[in-house]
Order: sequence, then C-alpha cells, then structure tokens
Amino acid sequence: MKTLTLYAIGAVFLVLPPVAGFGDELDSIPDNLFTLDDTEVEVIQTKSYNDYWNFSLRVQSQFQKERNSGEDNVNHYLSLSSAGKIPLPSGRFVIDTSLRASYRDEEENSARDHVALDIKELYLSNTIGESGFLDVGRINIRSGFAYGFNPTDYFRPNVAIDDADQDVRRRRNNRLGTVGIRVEKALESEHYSAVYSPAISTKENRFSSNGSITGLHLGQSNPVDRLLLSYSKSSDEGRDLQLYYMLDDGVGSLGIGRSAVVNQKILAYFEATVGRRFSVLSNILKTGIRDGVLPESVGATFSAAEKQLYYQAAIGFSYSSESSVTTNLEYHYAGDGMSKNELTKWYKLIEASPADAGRLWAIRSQYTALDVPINREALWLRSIWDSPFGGYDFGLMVNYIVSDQSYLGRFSVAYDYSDEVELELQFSRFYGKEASFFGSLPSDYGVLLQLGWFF
Amino acid sequence: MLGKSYMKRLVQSGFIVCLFALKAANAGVTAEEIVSRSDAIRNPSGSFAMETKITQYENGSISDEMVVKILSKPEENSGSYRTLVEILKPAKDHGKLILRNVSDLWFYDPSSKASVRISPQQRLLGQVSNGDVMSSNFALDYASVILGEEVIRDATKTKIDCYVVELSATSSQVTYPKIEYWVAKSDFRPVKGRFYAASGGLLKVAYYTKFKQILDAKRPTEVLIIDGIDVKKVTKMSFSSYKVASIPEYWFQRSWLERYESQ
Repeated sequence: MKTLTLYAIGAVFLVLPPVAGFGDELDSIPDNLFTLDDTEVEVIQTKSYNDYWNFSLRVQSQFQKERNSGEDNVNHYLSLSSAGKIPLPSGRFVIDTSLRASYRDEEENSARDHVALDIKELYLSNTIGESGFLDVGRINIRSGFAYGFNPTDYFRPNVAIDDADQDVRRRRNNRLGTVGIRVEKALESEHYSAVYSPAISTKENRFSSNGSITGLHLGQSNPVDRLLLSYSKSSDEGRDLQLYYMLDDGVGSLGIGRSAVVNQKILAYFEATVGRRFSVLSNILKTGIRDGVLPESVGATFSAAEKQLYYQAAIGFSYSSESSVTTNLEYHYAGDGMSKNELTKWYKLIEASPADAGRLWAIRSQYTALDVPINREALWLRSIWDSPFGGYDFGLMVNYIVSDQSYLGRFSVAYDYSDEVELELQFSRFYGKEASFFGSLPSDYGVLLQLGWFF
Repeated sequence: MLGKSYMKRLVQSGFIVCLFALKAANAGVTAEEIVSRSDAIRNPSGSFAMETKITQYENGSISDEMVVKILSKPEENSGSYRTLVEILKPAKDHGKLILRNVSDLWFYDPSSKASVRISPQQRLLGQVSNGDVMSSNFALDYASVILGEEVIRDATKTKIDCYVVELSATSSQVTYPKIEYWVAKSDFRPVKGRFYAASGGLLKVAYYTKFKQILDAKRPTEVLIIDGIDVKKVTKMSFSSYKVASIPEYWFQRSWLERYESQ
C-alpha cells in the first residue's frame, strides 16, 4: 500500500505540469487578431477639432397616456449643444450653449417652451502662478458625488433646463451656470476654492429675463448674493474629504462630503449639509402665495414655520459585479421636505379644493425645480449592465418614497449605433396610491425614445 | 526484499520532488525580483504619456472601439502610479476623464461637470476594466511567490520558457485580488497573466505581445485579453505614441479635472 502511495506521488509530479491547472487559452483568440505584421505598431492619430470643440444633437420623443382622460400625450424635443474651450496665452475661454426646440401636446407657458437658446457657461479662465486660477463669467459650479441627490450642490436650485427626463441625475446635469467669480488653488493633495455669485436684478429685459427665447435667465441663476468656500483633501488610503461653507442671502450652512474605497467592488460615499433657515416648504408657500401661484388657503393648512436647523443628506454604496453590472443604492434625507403628516394634509387639501388643485400641485414642481426631494426620506437605486451582448447597455432606476410608498421604476436600453450615434429607449412606470407622490402623476407610465448624435 | 524496494522507490520519488523544488527556486532569482523586473518592462520608470486603442472583438469581429490618452506619474515615495485617462474616442465620450490617485478612482464628465467615484473593477470597454488602463506596479501592490516554471506559447504562438509567479494583493483596493503571472526567463518580459476575482473565478486572461524599443526598453505594445467566462470575447489593447511627460502633482486631484486641457 505504501509502495502504491509513493508511486502515485511520483506519478503526480511526472505526469502533471509543474503547476496544476495551467492551460493555454491562446487558441481562443481568433486568427484575424494576429494578421498585423508583428513588427508593425498601430499609430493612433487622434488630434482633432474635438480637442477644442464638441457638438451634440439630441432628439427626444416622449409618450404618456393620461390616466383619467385616456388621451395620448406626445411631446417632441430637439436640442443642439455646442461646448468649446479656446486656449488663451494665460488661460482659456469656455463656452457651453444649447439651442432647444420643442413641440408639445402639453399646455405651454411661454414662447420659451417652443424655442430657447441657453448660454449654460461663458467665462474667462486665467491661470495665476503655477496652480492658481481665476474664473469670471457664467460658470457651472458643481459639487457633491451622490447620484440621486446632492445636498452639497449649492448652486442647483432653479437652473435645470431639461424637463423631459424623469431621471433627477440627468436633469441636474443639464443646467445653467451661475454668474460670478471663482478663485481656486490646487496643491499636491489639497484644493481650495472660493466662489462669489452676486444677486442680479430680475428686471425684465432681453438679457436677464426668463421669458424671452434668448434670455439669460439671470434671475434663476443669480437670485441672491451667494458665497461658497470649499476645501478638499484626498488621502493615499482612498478616502476623500470635502468641506463647504455656503452663505446664501446671508444664511450660512456647512457641508461635508466623504467617500471611501471598501474593496475592488464596493465604494461608499456620503454628503450632507446643515443650516439654520426657513424650510423649503415655507419659502415655497411665502413666495407662491405672494405671487398668486398658490391659493391663500394653503397657508392656513401648514403651521407657521420658524427658522431652525435643517439637515439634508445622501448616503450611498456602489457595487460592481464581475459580470459588469454596477449598482448604486442611496438613502436620501431632506429635513425640510414634507413630513408624512404634511403630505397627507396637502393631498387632503387638493382633494377638498378641486378648483385649486392645479395650483396646489405646483408645490411639487417647485420642489422639483429647487432639486430638493418633496418627501423627507427616499431610497434610490440605479443599476447599469454594460454591454452584456452587442452594443446594448441596460439600465434600471428605482426611486422609492418612504413616507407614501410610491415609486418610480424606469427601465432603459441604450444602443451604440456607431461611435457618434446612440439610441436609447426608456420605459417609466409610476406606482402608488392616488394621494402619493408618484401615484398622483397624471399618467401611469411614460415612454421616451432618444437619439443622440455626437460630433 | 520489500524494504529494499521500498527504499529504492522512496529515493526515486524523493529525487523527483527535490528536482522540482530546485527548479522552482531557480538558482536565487526571487519572485519579487521577477515581478519588479517585469514591471520595469511594462511601464517606463518616470512620468510618461501614451495612447491606447481598445478594440473589442466578438467571434472575431470588431464590436466596439475606444481610444484613450494615458498620463502616468509614479509617486516619489512609494512608486505607485497616479494615472489620468482622457477618452478620445468614441465621440460621445470625448473629453471624459478617469483619474487614479493611488487608490482613488474618479470619473469626470465635462458636459455635466460632475465627478463620481468609480471602482477599479467597473468595466470600461469589452474585457477592459477601469483598473486595466491604469499603470500598475505589481511589485508594490502584490505579494509574490514562485509557483514553478513552464514552457508556454506566447501571443505569437512561439514556445517560451517562463517563470510562473502567483501574485496575491496586499491591499483591498487593487483591481484583482489574485494573478497568475508568466514572465519570460530570458529577459523578464511579461508573457501572460491570469486575473482572478475574490471569489476565485477567472475574470480574464491577458497575453502581452509586440515588444518594441520604447523609452529605453523593449516594452509590450499590445495586450490581448480573453474573457474568463466567454472565450469568444477578446479585447485588444494597442499602445502607441509613448513619450516622456512632465506632469504637475495637482493634475491628480479630483477638483482639478475640470481644468484639464487635452495634451
């Protein structure tokens, strides 16, 4: 028996290669990948006008069926975007514009709903010393790294210009910058930034107005005096820290952002802001009633607000699987969103005042415009499956409102027709009781077909 | 008789085992030396720039393509690479940036000015993960052990005598927890790698090929990557336009990405 064992051990070493399991995958590689002469190196010529200027044309068709009337609602949108960076001796000139046109079945408010030219960015950037920068003009100041909600993205209220997409993240990405001055200093692992954005009169004229086709919308991007100071630091351990101080019309707030690598697949991130101020709801009610957008009855429904500390936070995790699926799960908290009790009061008021229902629903669009969740707590999930076959990418997004259990589910398929052309089909389904955030939308579902041409 | 025969066979088997052990030890070349000498061939020692074309094949036909510019700089103290990747093609992704600052990995979209954190294992194109386009230093990020030696076919289907080294990640932040790595005995050039997930599953197999004289060394200008599950999916990475580059430290900060100018 012992002899047999020894022979077996010897045989293992003789028969098997030095390390068990080493195979040769070379035959898996198709022969045409080897057709290039082994001495030849591909030279990649990549310099083009795209290094300085990019254009994109986007065509969107949105279809919804009204729940009550059964009517089909079809809207078409077209936008031509142009973004460029012109090098200057000591800096550069940055411009980002978008020309939009739409044809809608929905009721329209102004000529802008048909055609609009938006100057999203237009600023002069100068380098000061080795790593200092001074920017002057309309600048898109963007901060925060959560996907569904960015509490520390302080310049986000009222500047989104894309209203066809149900995805808050994509809506937030297409927006007007603020007019102001930015000073920055970059060090090896630290970064300092100061932004001053003055209040600009909303007096009606062709440059600042909100109504005209070429209006700069300065009233939206520069409603009050704002000052943002920020500091960021990255560490060798994969942690990133952002600190903010925002002075918004004399009201101060502090912000923090942190992110960390857990392992090869999992990332964690967190951002939050806190400030002593009036709630978003009380501001909406105050200005809404003053401007006649909201009926006066709504003021009596909600208790008089006082200044207090309000928190907004987003905490999230990202997981990338071995099969190329990346999923983000986030929890959003907006301290000045409506409580469950306030939401119930709001829905009851709408039910009891059918004549004012349309104006009362405007509270929701006000929250959307400010990019603050109307509810205090929400869960947000986004999952992307990248090219499982062919040039198709699949996406799933779920936005779940904790207080009223309503949710939006969106499934999307994107197809790369070529290097320049992308097609995308989105199907959104809204679930919830009649008196709930998503259940109260006029449709149960929406379909969006989008074509993007990039050149 | 039985005892004599037993002794004879014991000596024979022991001799075979000893031969193998000696062969693996390879006359004093350590695993660390093999890996670091191979690293020096995969990447230039100082700061450099290059362009990479990533072509995805399915059943032998091109299904997708991407061209990126890569700027890499080793950190003075640790030698770890910081890398900035600019996407040049396709047009819809032109100007998007990926930044790796030691273990931080960020994705920046100039159209939205948003930068989000991404994981090294997230797919960039085909079988190429974000981490694959980042210059990496295996000797720093992995503990290595010589598993043995083996004659394998390289990407030109020529037989080549290799060291076989097992690399185990010393940090949870690298792209692959485990790698089996074949390095040519003659000149320490990388020949092949098998890259594994934490679960132990084979993610991809890479062949390094087309070695050219670039920045003082013969370096691979092409890597062929075979999917670990579906072998019909193959991705080719072609490297060109290598040059020495002077890259300021602050370029590797997330907050600075907005100011990047195409090089």
